[in-house]
Amino acid sequence: MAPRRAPRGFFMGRSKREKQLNRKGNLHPDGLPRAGARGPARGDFMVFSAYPFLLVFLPLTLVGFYALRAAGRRRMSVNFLLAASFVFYGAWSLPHLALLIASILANYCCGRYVASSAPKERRRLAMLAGVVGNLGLVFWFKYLDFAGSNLAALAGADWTFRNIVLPLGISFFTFQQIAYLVDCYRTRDGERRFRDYALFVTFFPQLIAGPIVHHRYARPQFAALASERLNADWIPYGVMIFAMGLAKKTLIADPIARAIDPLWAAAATGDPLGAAAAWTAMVGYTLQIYFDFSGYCDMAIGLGLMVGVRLPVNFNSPYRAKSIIDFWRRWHMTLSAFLRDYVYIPLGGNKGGAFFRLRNIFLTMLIGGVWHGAAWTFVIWGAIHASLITLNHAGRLWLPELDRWRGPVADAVKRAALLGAVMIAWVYFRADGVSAAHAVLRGLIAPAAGYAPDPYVLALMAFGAALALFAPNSLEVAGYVEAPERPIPHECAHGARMLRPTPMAAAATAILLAAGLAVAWRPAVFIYFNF
Amino acid sequence: MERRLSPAAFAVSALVMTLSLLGAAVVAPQNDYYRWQELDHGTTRKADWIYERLHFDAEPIDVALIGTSRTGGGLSGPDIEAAYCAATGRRIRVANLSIPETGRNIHYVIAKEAMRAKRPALTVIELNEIEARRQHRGFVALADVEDIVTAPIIANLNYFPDLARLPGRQAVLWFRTLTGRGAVKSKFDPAAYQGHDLDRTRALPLLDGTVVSRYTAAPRDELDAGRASRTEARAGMRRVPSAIRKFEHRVPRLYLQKIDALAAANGRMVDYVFLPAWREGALPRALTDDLGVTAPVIDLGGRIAEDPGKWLDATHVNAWGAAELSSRFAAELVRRYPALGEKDCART
Repeated sequence: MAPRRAPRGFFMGRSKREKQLNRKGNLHPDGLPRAGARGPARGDFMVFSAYPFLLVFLPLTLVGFYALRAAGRRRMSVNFLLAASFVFYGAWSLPHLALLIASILANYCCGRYVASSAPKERRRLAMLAGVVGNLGLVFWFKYLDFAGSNLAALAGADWTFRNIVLPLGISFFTFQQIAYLVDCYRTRDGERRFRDYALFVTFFPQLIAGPIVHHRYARPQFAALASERLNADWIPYGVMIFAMGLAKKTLIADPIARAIDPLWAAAATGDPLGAAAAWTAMVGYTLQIYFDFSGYCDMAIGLGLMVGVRLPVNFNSPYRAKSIIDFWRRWHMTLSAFLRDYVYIPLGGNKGGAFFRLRNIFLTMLIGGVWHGAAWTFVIWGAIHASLITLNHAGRLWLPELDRWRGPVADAVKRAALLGAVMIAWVYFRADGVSAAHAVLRGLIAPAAGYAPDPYVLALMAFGAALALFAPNSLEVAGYVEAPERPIPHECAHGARMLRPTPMAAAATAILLAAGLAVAWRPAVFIYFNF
Repeated sequence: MERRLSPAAFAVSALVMTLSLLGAAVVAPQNDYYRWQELDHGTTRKADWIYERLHFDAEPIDVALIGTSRTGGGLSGPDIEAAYCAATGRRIRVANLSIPETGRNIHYVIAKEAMRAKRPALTVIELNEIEARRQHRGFVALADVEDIVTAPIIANLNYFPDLARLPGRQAVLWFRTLTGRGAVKSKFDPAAYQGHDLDRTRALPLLDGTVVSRYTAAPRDELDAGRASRTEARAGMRRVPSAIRKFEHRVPRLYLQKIDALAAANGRMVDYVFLPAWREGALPRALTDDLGVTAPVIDLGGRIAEDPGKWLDATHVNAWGAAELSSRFAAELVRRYPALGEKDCART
């Protein structure tokens, strides 16, 4: 069946949960979910692109922060940022805020011991205990249901696992703290000030979905924030980058999501898709996740700049990559770096010859896939990327002439092959189950009958594809570099094309902010908030 | 080279321009018909039909029924017209302008539009055993700019969210108006119009073309479970402290007062009908007093609330229940308002 295109109205904001309720026949006489059906999770209003964040939390935080800075209360302004970050997380869930605080306290104490002058063996044991504790926390909340239900299926047992609600950002804040503990052990240098450690973990622009920040990167910035003047020149760039991120999210990612969600829902219920529907779903999601995550990263960096903190670059036009290795140097760059430093290297890294190196690369990428979620679809997605990147490395070793094949034709072929593989992998990443993914993949080669994509959505997708493939990205346009000691715009990057805080740039920023705000009345949670 | 702004000048100018653009969006011209197409409920639509009935259908309206899905599926316009005709010999046109979900603000919007277009002789507003604290989420889709801006502020949990959404709504409508492309249709199509006697008491058409029959009765245990779940949800609601209890129903009370004032200004009447839920058949006097409803209410509660054969679920009657409610409503209409409509219904 080709999915029916329901007329899309102004007030279509029905949650995935509600749609599922309706599909199961649990239908209210007026097409509404029955009493007791849960609406959006409490705290969804703290999404960066939602009005309560944009119109209440952010202005109050900035006004309070700048007022304290203007009054010369620099330390107090850092305390205020910490308090704001707790409010930000607490708005999602108070019990999970308690969990976050407990996790910070435990890791802070553990880090102090690991960085102390205690004997190396004891420090090592403490570090391992901390890492295991953090991993245990992630396992309990994220993987217990998945592992338990699969074990039960294997054993033919009738075990039931309660549905544990995943605390937002748990993968990010625990992995950041794991990295901290390992670094404490390696360098014997930990954070002394609890406030700065807590802010390093909870800093609201990056708390929920990254970028994953190293303590050695954040530490001097928070210390400087408490003692030095704010670099006001960063603020216009923060506003401009934030506006670009907001526009990416609300003007491109969310409208595409609204157009393709019914197609994915149809696939999840087992409805076969025609070619037009399947291609729209796959290409649409490829663009949705690009603009969703890149929009989030821009907004995080913009927010950081507004309060005088640089965050690492996390996203660098990944669809312009020419190989899968290059892709992972551009997509979720801080996760790739984390996996390299704390998974690949401990597994042995390059040591032990080509076979072990390729094995370590494969395992690292597979773990990266499972990090995204506890479902077979993520395992398959991770396995696809792990296989591709292992093949890419193997090709460099044993078929170097392929790597040396350059020129416009070679570039086009390589980019097309990479995009095709990435898009097919995204199908598993997005689908609600392996069978739904296969329904979409089968649809790619099915007849195209029955579904006609909305021309406006097609135009939006074409525009998005052009931006993703050919345009300089927002950080390039703003001349942003992550090194705090370098100026913004960093002149060596793109020269005269870079933005300057001129009246014209202010007008362009205002247009993006107004357009982003105008359509932000139906915010959608960022995809990476789910991990 | 263009002049650079200081950080403060940049931030202030960007903010001022953003607010100016949003302000311009609010006053941008837009098509009212497109606005009434913007509200749907996931699997059904009603608002666009209401607008078509009010503006594109030449049939007058004598009785406008305004309420929630209980009225939508519980009172049949054609049945009431037939019963009224049989009892009085007069022809009336009853339009069921109810819309799913609760919220007096949207009742006011519909009553205002009905008064503007058709000036019904009688507007009947639904009452239930409980009044929602939150106003209707579709208000921001249907209300005009003035009603959103001048909505009650105190105790209105929707005021600021609705106000924040206004520029976006206006921008979308302006774009639709500019391109001549409504959410559902560009212009009124008489062939697709569902007619002046739209009746959803027997069946509910869904957007995917399927029709859900209401000739079905829910099992008693399901009805009891539904009621228990509602009772539990109600018990879980935080009690309003006594010091501010008078504000609890301030917003619905104000909207009901506005509907009264609107009708009075047009020389028209307003009445209220109580529609029960499963095993909740008694009219809640304390609530109606709190809402400022002092006139005798058309009470359709009583035994039907205990008859499991009349319920589709714990809050909605089925087709047989609707037939009974419509008949009782028509009888009360005849008793209270025997001279509505036109003479000699048999001839028309």
